[in-house]
Amino acid sequence: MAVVGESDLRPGRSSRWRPSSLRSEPVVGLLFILPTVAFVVLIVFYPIVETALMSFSKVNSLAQREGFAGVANYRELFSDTVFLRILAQTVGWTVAVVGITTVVAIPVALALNFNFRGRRLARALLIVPWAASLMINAIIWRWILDGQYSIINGTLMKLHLIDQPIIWLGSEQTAWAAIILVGILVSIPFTSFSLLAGLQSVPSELYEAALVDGAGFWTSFWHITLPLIRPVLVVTTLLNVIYVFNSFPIPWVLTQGAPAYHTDILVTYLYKRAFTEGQFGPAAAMAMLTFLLLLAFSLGFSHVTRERTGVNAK
Amino acid sequence: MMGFPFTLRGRRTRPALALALAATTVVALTACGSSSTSAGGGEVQLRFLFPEYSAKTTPLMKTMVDDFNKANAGKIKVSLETAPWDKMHDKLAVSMGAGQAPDVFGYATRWISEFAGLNQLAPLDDKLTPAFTQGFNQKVLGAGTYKNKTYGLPVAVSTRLLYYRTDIFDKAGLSAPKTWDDLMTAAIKTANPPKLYGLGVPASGIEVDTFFNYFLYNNGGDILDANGKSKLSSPESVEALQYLTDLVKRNGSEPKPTGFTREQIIENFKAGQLAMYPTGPWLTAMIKADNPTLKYAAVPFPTNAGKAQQTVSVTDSLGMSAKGAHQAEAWKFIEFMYQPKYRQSFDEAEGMLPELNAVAQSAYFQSPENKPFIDALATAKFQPQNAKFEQIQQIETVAVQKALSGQATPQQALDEATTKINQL
Repeated sequence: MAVVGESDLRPGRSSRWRPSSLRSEPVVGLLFILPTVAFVVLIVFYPIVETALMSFSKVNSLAQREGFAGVANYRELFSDTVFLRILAQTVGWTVAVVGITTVVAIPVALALNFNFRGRRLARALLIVPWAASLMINAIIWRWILDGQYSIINGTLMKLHLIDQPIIWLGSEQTAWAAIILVGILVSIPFTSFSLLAGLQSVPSELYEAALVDGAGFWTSFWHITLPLIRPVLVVTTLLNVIYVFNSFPIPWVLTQGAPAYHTDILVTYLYKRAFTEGQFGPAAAMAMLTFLLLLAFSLGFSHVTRERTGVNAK
Repeated sequence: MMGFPFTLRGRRTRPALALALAATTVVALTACGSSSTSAGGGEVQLRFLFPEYSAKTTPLMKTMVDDFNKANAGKIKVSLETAPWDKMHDKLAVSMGAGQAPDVFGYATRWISEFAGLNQLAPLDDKLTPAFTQGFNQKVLGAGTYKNKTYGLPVAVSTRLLYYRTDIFDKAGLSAPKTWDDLMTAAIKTANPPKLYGLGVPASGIEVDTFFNYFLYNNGGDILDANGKSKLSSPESVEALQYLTDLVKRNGSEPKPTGFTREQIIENFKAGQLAMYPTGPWLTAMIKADNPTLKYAAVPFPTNAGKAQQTVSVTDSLGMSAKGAHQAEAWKFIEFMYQPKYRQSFDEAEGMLPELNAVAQSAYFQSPENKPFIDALATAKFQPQNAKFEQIQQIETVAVQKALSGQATPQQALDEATTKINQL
């Protein structure tokens, strides 16, 4: 919005501050968007600038900048083996959660697009975990996965499949699998609903025509459904990558990185560095790197997918 | 109903409306930045920030603040603000950074070195009269000193003892553990998994380092030496972590303690699924509320044969901002707060130990269930004053988690911690 408004600015006309120019459309438009622009600058851009400045400064534990520090914060970050491992973990977490979510959400969306009894109920139930906040979901899962009480362990023990409770969050492998599983489960509602919206916009004539031509389910799926929901898939993937990469509540509530940083991702490690340890300099450098990584990904992803969509359209 | 600005239409009014909107925004934005310091009438306004220990904290503090305001009507007016404990450091740091620190505030004693180092805490020595200080437990009062100056007065004092289930111990023919050998035997013998585990070992979330300190201190070890260098690689420290690791390996605790937080362990103890767990006096109040039939007692944490008893103890402090404009009035408020009646109701309600001798002598704190905690103050070891303590705690936590999850031997994990601490 802001960019559009500024491009409308015509200095020649508005620089002369007279009642008639005040009444001109562009100026009135500008005045209308001014509050929004002011808030966006204050709430979005100011923190980014402050973080960027902090990442190049010596910062005390009250988060006050105490002079220029060059790239010392960044250098500290790249000599920190824990950071490098967590960066790799974060990429793994994002790829696993977004990848599996997308693969699972497509059949869910297809199923919800069929006309069956109780479809409205099924759709409503799928919304429930999405409507609850991520924090609440995470806390519920913390108890579901509890090593002593949990309903999972209780059920497995009653079925005599295990004779000792499994401490899901106790070792790095099971804890890592658990947070990825929860990440997937909370991402599915948004993804399947977006895909469902995409499916509903596919004209049914296409399927009827394909049926006449003798196409089976899979042929229709590969040649009609998938190409036509492609734009929606691009958007959900992009949004999911950004959300999941920055997803704080799930790893924080479930493990806080235990044992020994093995289930940390960048945001939880950043939070520990900044707010537990008071190391705002390296934390700000980490925040800037995260920002740049996601920015680069978003631009690259949009570029690649836009080109391909263009080719397909011809 | 909706009048003037909504009903007028046409070109002439739009610029005016736009200007008004813009002006409102600017006013709203600038209003965020300023804060009221003193309202007129010569009345001094003080801001008091106190952490929430439980749902009872705010009403208790409000009663005290109201009493003070009534007694000083027209001269001093204190406004109370409370914040969840977890948010206190952030809240104080942010307000100090912005030059808006409250006049009087509660905080963790271990933050003194950090805040005093940044010239944000007022030293209290010139205000401490013998008449005022003689009412305090002197050892507890000493916890708030840093570099020979007193910065904090004690609030929320606790000592940590080993809670154990008397009924389970009786049935197993065991008595209260005194040495590490007793503890190991009891932990293994009482266990009946998955219904009952021996010693609760929380190795996830907060206070993993504090939990290890029970072992470290009672083996004659320490985190830091007098020069602030790590002592975690010393033989006593390694022996302590080796002991804890062995206890877990020999099924004296839940398997995989890195899957349990302190909160979960406390739930398990209250539910009767743990035979032993060391923690502060608040557990007594929790058991009373949630499972009053549970049979238990609390004893000093066992020591490794022949080593001196050192009780893990934590205090929070009450201090004054060094930047406050009304320090005399702030001190008057602090003196008012330390009347035994206010401290008694606070300590009782929150399950904390008395810092005032008068309160400690009360029938409530001389009862068999509370007295052991007060007696343990004699062997109290408080958290060290080190500006990097929060980072050191994090490093210690990681070392304990590595050893308990088998990623490293106790020696490797603690050597790594020593290297990291000495690089800070």
